[in-house]
Amino acid sequence: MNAIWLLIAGVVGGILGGMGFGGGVLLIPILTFLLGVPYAVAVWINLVVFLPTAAVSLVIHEKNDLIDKDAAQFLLPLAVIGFALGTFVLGKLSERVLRRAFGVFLLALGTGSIIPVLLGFFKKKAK
Amino acid sequence: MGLRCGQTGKRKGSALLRCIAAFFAVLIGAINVLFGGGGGMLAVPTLRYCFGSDEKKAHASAVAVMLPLSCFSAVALTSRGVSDANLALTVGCGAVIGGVIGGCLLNKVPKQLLSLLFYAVMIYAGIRFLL
Repeated sequence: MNAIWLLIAGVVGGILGGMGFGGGVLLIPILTFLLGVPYAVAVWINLVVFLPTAAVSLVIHEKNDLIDKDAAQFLLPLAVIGFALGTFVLGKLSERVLRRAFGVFLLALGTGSIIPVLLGFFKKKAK
Repeated sequence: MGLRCGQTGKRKGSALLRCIAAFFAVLIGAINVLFGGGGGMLAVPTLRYCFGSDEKKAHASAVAVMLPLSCFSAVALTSRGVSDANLALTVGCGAVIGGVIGGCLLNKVPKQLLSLLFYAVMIYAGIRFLL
């Protein structure tokens, strides 16, 4: 696989992440559809790539006192329960089903997010 | 522990908001390990609407939740034999470069237009995964 294209895929995901979009949700399709990386590996890469950049931003956010610790302490234990449930389900589902579920997730999230942006866009144009 | 509601940050401990936040927290954890991404996109609105965090705080706090979760999820997938260190290293180098570029571009590109493009590509990718 061409290393340059993998690097470019990383740059695209990084730019989106750096601008506050969920870069990861597009990195997986880029790696899967454009570069032929197996879906499970693309998912793993997305998780691993997030770790160092997130660790650096967490240190910066902590220094700037931007972390709502009460909220994080409330959400994290419950999210770990969700992780345990997800890990259990992961073993029961085929890759085909997971890909489709991810497709539904992207479609729902994309549609739900684009509607308010479109409304704002047309409102601005109408003024 | 009470939840903070509204921009004032006043603790009100609304049971309904607590339940909604709890539901989304469990969902975020499951989604992170199943799909490897997208959890942060749910964590940010959860923090904003259930905890009254402003946009900056919501993004920062979402990272605090997503970092340990992604660590667990990566370990879970690695233990199932899913990994490719060489690919991850190359993509990771690109992501670091892209992260710096994205940070510099943050206030220089029309965010609304970029959001439209981003969500449109997300919808397209969703359809591709379904086909």
